[in-house]
This record gives sequence, structure tokens and C-alpha cells, in this order.
Amino acid sequence: MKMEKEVILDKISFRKKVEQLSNLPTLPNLLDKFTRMLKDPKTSMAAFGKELSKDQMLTSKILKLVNSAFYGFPGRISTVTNALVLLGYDALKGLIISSNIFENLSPEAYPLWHHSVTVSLASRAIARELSLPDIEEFAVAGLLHDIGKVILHVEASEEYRTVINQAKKAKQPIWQTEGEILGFDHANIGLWICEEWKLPKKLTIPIGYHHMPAAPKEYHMRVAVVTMADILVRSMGGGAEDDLPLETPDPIIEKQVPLTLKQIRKLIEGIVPEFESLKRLAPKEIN
Amino acid sequence: MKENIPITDVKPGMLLAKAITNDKDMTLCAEGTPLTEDLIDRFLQMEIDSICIESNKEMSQEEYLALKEKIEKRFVASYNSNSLLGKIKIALLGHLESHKGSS
Repeated sequence: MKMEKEVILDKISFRKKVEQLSNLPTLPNLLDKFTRMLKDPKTSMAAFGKELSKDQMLTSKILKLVNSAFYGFPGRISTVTNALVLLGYDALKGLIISSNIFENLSPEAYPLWHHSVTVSLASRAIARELSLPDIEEFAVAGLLHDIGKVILHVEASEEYRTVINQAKKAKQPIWQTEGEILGFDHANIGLWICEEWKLPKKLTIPIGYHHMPAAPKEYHMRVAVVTMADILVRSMGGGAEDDLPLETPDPIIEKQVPLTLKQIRKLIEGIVPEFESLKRLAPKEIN
Repeated sequence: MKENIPITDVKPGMLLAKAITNDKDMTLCAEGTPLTEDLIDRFLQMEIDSICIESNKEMSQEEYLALKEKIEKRFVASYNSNSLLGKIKIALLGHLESHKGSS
């Protein structure tokens, strides 16, 4: 039997631990090489795909991911070059990162994985409903929006469990409790890490500001789509930490993502079957 | 209610709830098609892992009320029915209502 251990949170050491994290998770060297290749205008998509295909582990991971039932491409994608053309480089890079990071998540944090994948689906669905270009980038921003939480779970699991319990007791959103304890929240951590990984701003800003959608100077629409997806999934009971109450969203969300009641209903109808079927998948199956 | 299920759990007679398309978005099997052994075999050959079927599971009154209460609890922040949260709540309750058993 598992006993609930009461952990007294040492705020100072926890904060120190988290601050030192920003240089912990590193990207495979390979990605650095690819980033350099892409900066060279002479590199063609096909040449890049060919180079990427040389790494078998990475190739099989990418193909497994893009072909998995929930990623949502109809039909089979059999080459990395195809995946690259369909997703674009930025989305693909985000996907590779997410599969590396989610791999280390303990089964106990499974709801966080479920939440991330459904927010990804919802972000894509909202972007599609609004006829926005590059919907795969929205999907990846959704997938990575809580990457800060994943890192907290992986690197400071005991302390983070205490934070979650405290949020539940206070019945307040988790990011507010994190802010009170750490002075920063999981979105801030996500922003540091993504900047460290040199992800483009169109991805780092929605990740870093999904709880403060009016704060950034640019990419308001992208932030609003991911925040809206997060609210929608949590309203369906798909939050990463049980049923914490929904906070009143910033008015900028409705301004940027003006969805009608009919559109919201349509989005819910579309997301529910995936939401339910994902519950049956274990996290291991995506990696 | 629509439900995604692994292809290995699909039985003849189930109704396809979402069209099967190829990579060019061409419909190969339309929504609403009753599934047969042959069709299921073809899906297996096409290496389709899961499909969306119309499940005939109806929600009981108790399940409906329990889910409704859970939704109500999530919406504690102040808002009016015209606001974003208001619209989401109405849409969710509408969705729930539409899957309630008729009895």
C-alpha cells in the first residue's frame, strides 16, 4: 500500500532547484546540427529529410508519432521528408522535443500527458475552425504548453506534488499557487526552456504566456488559441490536476478567438471522442 | 455517442461515425456505413489502427446527473451567459443533454 507522505515544502531550496533546471534538459546534438543546416538557404527540404533519415532512432520516432492514431493525419506517412513537408520544420522540432521530454514522465503524471495531447488536438481544431494558416504549429504549441509542468514533475516530483495538493486545498489554479510559492509559474519555466532550446517565438510565446495572454507584445492570436484550447479541455474535465476551478479568462481571448456558441459546440463534439479514446492509451504508446 | 475504438475491437454491424479518408482527403468509406467483416478486413490491410464508431451506449439518468454536477463545479468563477465561460458551459451541457438516454 502506498502511504501519502507529508512533505514540508522548503520554498527556498525548491526555487533554487527549479532555477538550476533551465540548463538541465538538453536537446540531442543532432537537432543543433539540423538547425544549422536549415539556416543555410542552399539546404533543400529533400536534402534535409535525407540527412534526418540517417538517424534511425529519430526517424522511427518521428514516423511513429506522425502516424499515431491521435496525431490525426489520414493515411500513412512513410518518409521523414513527407513528415517535414506536412508539419513544417518548427512543428517537427517541437514534436521531437516533446517525445524526448514526455518519455521521462512517471505513470503517475499520466493526466498531464492526456491534458497536453488533448490541448494539442483542441488547438489544432480551433485554428482550423478559424481558418488560420500553419495549424500544425498550433498543435505543437498546445502539446508543449505545459512543458514547464512536465519538467517540474520529472525534476522535482516530490516538491511539485506538495504544490499540487496546496492548490487543491486552496481551490485555486495551479499556476497561482506556483507563483505564490516560487515567484514564477510553469509557464515561465516553459518559456525559459524553450528559449534555451531556441524554439521560434511563434511557439515559445504561446507556451510562455498561456496564463497571461495579454502580456506579450506579439503573437496574441497564437497565445489566445492555446489558452482557449486549455480552457476548453479543462472545462471537459481534462485538467492535469483533477477538477480545479476555471478562472475567468482574460477578455483578450474572446477578442482574438471570437467563437460562437455553435462553433464551441462543434469543437466539443469533435474533441470528445478523441478525449475519451486517449484515456485508454498509456503514455508509452506514443513514444 | 461517437467513440474511437481500436480496429481489433470493431465488430460487424457497428456504424462508422467518421469517414475513412486517404492521404488526399478522398473519402474511402462514408460516415454512417454499417461495418461488415469484409470492410473490417480491408481496414486491417490498410493498417488503420483505430476508427470512430457510433456507440449505442446510452447514459443513465444517474450518470447524466453526476456529470452535470461535475461540470457545474468547474464553473465557479463569475461570468454571464454571454461570456466565453458562459458559452462553453452552455455548449457542454447541451452536448451532455444530447447523449442522455430517452428513458
